[in-house]
Formats: sequence, structure tokens, C-alpha cells
Amino acid sequence: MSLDLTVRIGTLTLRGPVLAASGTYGYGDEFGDRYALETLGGIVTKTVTLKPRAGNPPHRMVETPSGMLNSIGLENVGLKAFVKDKLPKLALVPTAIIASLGGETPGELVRLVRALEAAPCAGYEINYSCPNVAKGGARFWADARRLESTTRKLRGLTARPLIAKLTPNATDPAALARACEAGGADAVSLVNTFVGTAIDLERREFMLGRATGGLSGPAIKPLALAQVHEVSGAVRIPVVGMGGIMSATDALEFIVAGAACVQVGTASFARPDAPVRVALGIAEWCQAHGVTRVADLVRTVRVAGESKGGDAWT
Amino acid sequence: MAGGKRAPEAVRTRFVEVAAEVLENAPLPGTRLYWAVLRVPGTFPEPVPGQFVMVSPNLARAAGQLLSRPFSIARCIPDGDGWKLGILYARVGKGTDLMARAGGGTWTVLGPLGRGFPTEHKGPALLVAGGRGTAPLVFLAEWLEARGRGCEFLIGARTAADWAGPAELGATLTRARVWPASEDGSRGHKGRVLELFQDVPELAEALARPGAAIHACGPHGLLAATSAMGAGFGVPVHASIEAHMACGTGICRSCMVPRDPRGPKPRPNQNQEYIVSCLEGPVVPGECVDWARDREASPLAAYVPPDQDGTLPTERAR
Repeated sequence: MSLDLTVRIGTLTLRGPVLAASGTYGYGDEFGDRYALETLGGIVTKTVTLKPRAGNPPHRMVETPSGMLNSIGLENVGLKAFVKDKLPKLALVPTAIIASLGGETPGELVRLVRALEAAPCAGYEINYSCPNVAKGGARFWADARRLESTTRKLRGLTARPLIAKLTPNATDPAALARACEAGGADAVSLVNTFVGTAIDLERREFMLGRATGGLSGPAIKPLALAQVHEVSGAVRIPVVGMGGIMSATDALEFIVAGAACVQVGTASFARPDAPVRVALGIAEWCQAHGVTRVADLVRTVRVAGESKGGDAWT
Repeated sequence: MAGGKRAPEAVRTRFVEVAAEVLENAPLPGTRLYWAVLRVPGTFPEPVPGQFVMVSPNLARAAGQLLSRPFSIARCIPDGDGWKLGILYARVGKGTDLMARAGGGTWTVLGPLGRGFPTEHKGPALLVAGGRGTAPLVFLAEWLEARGRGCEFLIGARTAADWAGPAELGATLTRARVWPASEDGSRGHKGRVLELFQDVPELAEALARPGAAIHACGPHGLLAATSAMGAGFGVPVHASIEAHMACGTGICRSCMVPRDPRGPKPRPNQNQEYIVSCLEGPVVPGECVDWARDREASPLAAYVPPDQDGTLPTERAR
């Protein structure tokens, strides 16, 4: 039985429904050829900014119950080195490379897209949601009008797929998603991390060098699933779901909740081949359940006892 | 001071993830430390002293622990087509508590990872350990011994209960001289381990010999003091550093340690402000670290097991 795993995002067809999430798989070349990366729909690179960033002071990470807090602060090599040193190597990676872009202003994002249009990458994920930077972070971008006008500017610059990555730390994530859709985004991806902190009681210090960080891992999966379900009911463009996906089962739950495809993030820290394991597991589950198109599973979850697709939020 | 020297570059090892059989995992007699011996198959590349592994007992994963924990390899003994790896640890937080409770079974091991100790020095090898920081240095001493080389092995700890040397970890060394110290005097010299360089003429002499090099592992304060001492004597210090680490493979960018701007210069493609301890270390030249800005790793809140939390009277006396 043949199995169609492809996912369409704008003009791009992903070969499978699993991507490696930004900031959790380096620039895509870190693991060389040791894993079957061709099983992935894509790799979203570490967010690149115009200038290199050294990142936040230590500690940058602390494990919490069923999760972890990070405060990396968009450490990256900067646009110039990304284009010169990183992207050429990524041409050899057998899956779609999606560049994650971070800007403190709409103008910086415009400059990044302009600069990358001639470079070999398959699309862009706009990081509208980093919780760990003073400027241009999740709080700045959690503004529907700003998101819509910025996305529209970027849309005018590129035919490549534009994915808007959103914060879950907003009163109305669906409104932010609709703003991105109105601005011409091809997809929205969510959730980025939830703001949290951890305390060293004996020293009465924040564990993290920048006091707060972003919570990820299995701890946030129920929160993320609910947001993905809500947002997928509010927009017509595909939703890229993520938040604590450790296994194929987790990923499939996101898909039936409303995600067209998923990203695996924190799991890669525990096992570097986690995205590949999830991708292979999804194919196996589909074969075992007689599913011939993964797309047929999207947003098929129901409220128990109801025959029609339910929406927990309405 | 650094002259034209360059900071070490990232090392990308051919690491593998393997299921390791636990051959031993028990308290080290007479101490607060634990000793585990893990059997890894021949697919595991031969490690060098100073390299580390990410360890996760299957029980810890089943209990919901997300991340593995980094440990220096304390011993590496050929065993058939594979290796027996020794891990020295203390029960300081949730991860090591689960390790201590995991007993035997199968543990997931990812490695070998990182940059080890440089071994090209021709002069005396001076090994300075603090507490469980003895781990990678026992491996180094054994490695040197196997190549006909000895070392001066200075091991300090707070008390005898925190102290372990090569013999305690089952390593028989004939060329290494062990110099014990403890802050309370319960083991060897009473005081700090670096005082041995003043008090013992042979060590003072070894420090002054051309080609001498210090290899150090231990708490932040010891590494900072050792680096300062080395700089004062013009002796290179190779320090095995520690930081909060999620992945061990260079992708999470968590385990950053502040770089000393006066130290050896990083290349343009490296982070100019921080050392990535899992790739550029864990062993780095002491002069690379800005010790004043470095922050000692905090264990996660020491876990109080519910079944042992019976000390507080929660019920009213009737």
C-alpha cells in the first residue's frame, strides 16, 4: 500500500510531515550524514539575524519537571557567515532547508529576506516569537497589526514559502495567526516556548542568567496541542504544530488536532536522531492503520460521542 | 600572555548512541560518591582521556527525565570487542539521584564527546583533582601509564568521604604518585590541594621543570585558582570545565562558559564571547576562561524522595 506523506506549504512540497525545529538542529549540517535526514520534511535552521549574536549569559539552560527552560538569546553566526559558510554546506543535506529569520524591526526582516533570495534555501520561517531577547522578541511581535503589515512586506519580496512562527504567550493566538494569514503567510508555526523561570533557593538566584527563559519539552505538550487545535480552526493556511513532541504518537496527536505537519525540537537534545525516529514512526503507524495520505488525518479529532469534527473552543 | 596562540576550535567526534549494560552501580565504600561501570559495544569509538558521555538510565527516562547527564569517562577498559566505561558521580540532584536508584539494567550512552586532554607535553604531567573531578584524571593517569609515562596526581576534597583516587576506582598504577589532601585533614594533607605545590619539594620542583603541564578537573574555585597559579609559573593549565548542558553535541548552545577577552583569540567563525564547552572543551586552556564571570553549575533542587521525607511531623499530636 502506497503512503503519501507529502505536505504542501505555499509553493513548496515537503517530502514528509516532520521537520527539525529551529534552534534545536543547528544549521542542519551538524550531524553530517549519520542520520537518514531524507526522511524529514525539512530542517529549520537556527535563527539568523543581520549581525552575529553571542547570546545570553550563563546559565542558559535548566531542566524542569518533564521539560527544560532555555535562554540562549538567538546566538547565531549572523547573515554574512550564514550565507558564506553555512548555506553552501546545507546544499548537501537531502531535505528542505528553511531559514529561520529574526529581526528587531520589520526593516531588519526585509533586509534578511532580500539578502537570502539569491541563496539556496527552500523557504523562510519568520521568528516572531523569541522569548529570550530584549528587542524584537515575542512581546514586540505579539501585535496583530504589526504582524500583518510586516508579513505583507515580506510577501512582496518572495515567492518562497513564508511561515510565521508565533508565541503561545498571547491572549489570543488565533488573532495573531489570522493577522499573518491576512498578510500573506503560507503557514503559521506554533508553539514557540512558554515564558518560565527556575530558582536556586539556597542562593536566592534565578537559575538562568537572564532570569526568565522559554519552557519546552513534554511539559508543554497539552498546552501546545490546545493552541494548535484552536488556531487551525481559525485560519485556512496550514498550521505547523510543535511543543513537546518526543514520539510519533505525539506527532500524530498534533496532526489530528489540526497540524498539517510538525516540528521536533527539544527531543533532539535527548536523542539527536529524534526527528528521524518520529518520521519513521509516523509512516509505520499509517501503514498499520490503513492510512494512505497523512493529509487525511489533519484535524480529524472529535469530541467523544460526537460524530462530527468537534471544536473544543466554540 | 597568550601571544599568537589561538583558542581551541570545535571538535566534532564520531559519537554514537548505544545501549550500555550496567555491570556495577553502587556507592563507593567509605565515601558519598557512586561508581558505575557500563559495558559499551565495539561500535563505540575508543575515547581519549578528558572526553565525556551523555548518560541516561532507562529508568530515568521511564520516570520522565527529559535530558541525559554529562559525565567524564573515569576509566576505559577494553572488554572483548567493546569497552567498560567507569563513571564517578555524586548524588547531588535529580538526575544523579535517579542514577543511584536505577541500580543495573540498560543505560543509554551517547559518546564519546568533546575535546580531551592534550598529551603531547614532554615534561612532568601534573594532575590536579578536586573531589569527583578526579574522574577524567584517573583515565589520563592510566592512559599515560599504558605509554610508559608517570604523573604526579594531586587529589583534594572537602573530606575523606568526598575523596577518591585511582586505587578506589580499581586502577592499578605503578608510575603515578598520588598526593592526597582534604580540607578537614581526614585524608592526606590538611588544607587545599594546591598547597601541596608549596609544601612538597618534589612537586615544587616538578612544577619548575621545563615542559611541565597541569591537567585539572574539579569545582569552579579550584579550576580558577589552578589557572591563576599556572599563569604565575608560566605552566600551561588544561582545565576540564563544567556547565549546564542539554545535548552534548553542540546544537543546544546551553553549555557556554565566558571567554577571557585577554586569552587566546577565537577564530572569526567561533562565538567571540563564550566557549561552547561541549565542542571546544570540556578540556580548555585555563587562560581561555573568564573565571570571574564563570558561574558554578547548580544542581537541580536536591530531590527529596517522598518515601524518605518522613522527618517532619505533619499530623497533630493527639
